[in-house]
Amino acid sequence: MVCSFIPCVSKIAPLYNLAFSIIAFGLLIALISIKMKNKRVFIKPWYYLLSAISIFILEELITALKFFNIISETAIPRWFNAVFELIMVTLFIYMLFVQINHVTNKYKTDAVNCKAKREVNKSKGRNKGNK
Amino acid sequence: MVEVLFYIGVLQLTVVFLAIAAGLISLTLFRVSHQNKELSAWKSLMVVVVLFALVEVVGFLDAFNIWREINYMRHIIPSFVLIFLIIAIIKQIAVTKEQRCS
Repeated sequence: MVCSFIPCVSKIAPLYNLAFSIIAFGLLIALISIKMKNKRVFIKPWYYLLSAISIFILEELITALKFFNIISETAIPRWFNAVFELIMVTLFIYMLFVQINHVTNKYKTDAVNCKAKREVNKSKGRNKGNK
Repeated sequence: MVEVLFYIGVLQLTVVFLAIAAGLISLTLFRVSHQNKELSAWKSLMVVVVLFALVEVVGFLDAFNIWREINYMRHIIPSFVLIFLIIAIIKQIAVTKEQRCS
């Protein structure tokens, strides 16, 4: 059973990926609990990321169970992985669109506010000049 | 059996195209995230989405027998994806705490 470094790492990778994804899940929960205390912060896209991470954990769990021969390839066929990945990609795209939409709206309102402030300052300056 | 393989192939192709699209969409946030400090977490998140697209491309090449030698990358790249994801979440937690205090 001699194997080189990279193939060995790739064999054990689903296990530490599972550990990493559980850490990421915990951190996301922490982020959402911070948000609960403060409603001003916009973290809507991170909810979609949480859903994607949950699906990833499920996928990695299945891979790990297959690695340990607890479940067979026939019990959960390979197309399940493709379906999980499809759902994850869809969630990523939706998350990105939500964030882009938020950024665009925020910049638009910021630009309008800036313009209004500038006009107020200009009119104040004119009034001072007239006096 | 052939039908199942056909459906897997269609799913893989869909996932690859969508993942590449997601990678390209995430790159549109690049300029904005550099200008705005609030979006600093999105720099790492962009790397996550781009690496995820790379994983899907590797999976596609493996599934269609185009380049089977890089099969091992299918499990190694997700580790980097998750590391960048953890960095992004930590950054976002810091930003959220900062906003809460201000």
